[in-house]
Amino acid sequence: MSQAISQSMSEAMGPTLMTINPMINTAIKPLTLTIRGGVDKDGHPDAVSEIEIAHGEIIGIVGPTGSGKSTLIADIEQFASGDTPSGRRILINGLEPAAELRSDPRKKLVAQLSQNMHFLADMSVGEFLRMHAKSRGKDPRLADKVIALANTLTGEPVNPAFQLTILSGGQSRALMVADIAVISDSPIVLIDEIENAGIKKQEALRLLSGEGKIVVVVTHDPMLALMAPRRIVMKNGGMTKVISTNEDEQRIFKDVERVDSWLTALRETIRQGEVVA
Amino acid sequence: MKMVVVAGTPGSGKTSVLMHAVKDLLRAGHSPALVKIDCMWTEDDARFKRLKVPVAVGLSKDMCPDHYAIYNFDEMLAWAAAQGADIMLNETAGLCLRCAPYPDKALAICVIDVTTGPNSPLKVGPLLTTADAAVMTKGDLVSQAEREVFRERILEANPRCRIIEANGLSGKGSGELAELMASWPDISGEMVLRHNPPLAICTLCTGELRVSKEHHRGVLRHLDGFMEYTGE
Repeated sequence: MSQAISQSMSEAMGPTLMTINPMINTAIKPLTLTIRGGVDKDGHPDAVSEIEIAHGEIIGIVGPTGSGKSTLIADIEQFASGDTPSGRRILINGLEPAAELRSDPRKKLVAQLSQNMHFLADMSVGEFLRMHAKSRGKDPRLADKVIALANTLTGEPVNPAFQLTILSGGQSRALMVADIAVISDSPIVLIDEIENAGIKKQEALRLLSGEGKIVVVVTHDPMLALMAPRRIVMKNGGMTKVISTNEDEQRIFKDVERVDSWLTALRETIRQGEVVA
Repeated sequence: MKMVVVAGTPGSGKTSVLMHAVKDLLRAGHSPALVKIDCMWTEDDARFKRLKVPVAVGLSKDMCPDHYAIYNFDEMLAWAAAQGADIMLNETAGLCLRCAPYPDKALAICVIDVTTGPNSPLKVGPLLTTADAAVMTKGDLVSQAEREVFRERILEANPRCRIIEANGLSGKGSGELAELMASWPDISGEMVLRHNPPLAICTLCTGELRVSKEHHRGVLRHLDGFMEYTGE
């Protein structure tokens, strides 16, 4: 672990990266993600003027409905360069990312699990996944792997011959998560409210976060929020502060974990049509 | 003068995307003028007028709206020049998918709605296949995977087009679109269409209302694909 960190540090510090691309960063390996503050809904500057997120870090985004959490996620997803309503800028390894990293799925650094619960595409599951693998420059045979993985997250098995549009919310979300883990295997992962997904949320987060990835997770869930060492607090469209979790919170986290696994077991009992004892 | 033709199916978000792009053009110091073509009725001109740019409306009534636009391009350009504009933006009515009212020297933009599903880029025809840029709208309503599959389908239909992911509500992508418009070369000399409009004229075009085959003359196509000239 420490070896991996020192190796990535030396890559980040090394002179080569800077000298090859002095202005525009085309590197495929992001070591840091920087959010430069913009403005809130009333045009006031973000109280958090800049935040740097390191390789391997999970960071939370919290705040009430309408506070701008999804907008912040969207800014990161499209590598905003002052051209979105918030005026924020996203930097990779301290530099503005090249245009093709924003748009070409083959070079995309970002995988995103949005709040959408359903597919609209009128295609079979297998055909869709093969097409998606192709769009990302991956082997179409990965489709089977995605389906197998999705079936570990949902109680209702998904079959490659199913039409996407008939899948339940749980099946769709399981498929979206598995698709991100296998096909959109990108170094930055954005997750928007996975707790509403009707799937095993911890298992899903574990699958999505993978080794060394930067994970940004929007959440209202105490357990997911406390799993992140830091969290950005949103209000009225602006980034108001960054909270680092402390020992007290981590003690509470242990309780939350116990309560959560108890609730999960109860939920499963009820779902199976049994009596809670 | 630069010329931009914005086409796309009804409800795909042409007007909303254009509104944001016009704001970006104004901010960059350009003077766009806008011509909205519709068939029977439109109130889009009122939306555009709020941006304080010159707006004209053309209603095609009994003429095919794309043919009407093509026939009147000269007049639109002369009007835009008289308004002191440096970019003439033409938003088409967006109906049948067979015509592509794109002159060769104009910037041709096809607005396409992601929620119509990944088969729609294959259905749209010359409207997409001869466009310089495809603007994907409503991407926030689908997953990232679905957006990427849609993008792949657009490239299957038109491998050389530039794809811009835009959102008519948030304004996402409008900066990129405005930059593309501003960087397009000025029009000059004679312009020709990129793709031929459908064959004409049959008796339906001239007002025949009766339905069955015996009443019709012209260059006509049968259900089985056989095409023939029927008439004198």
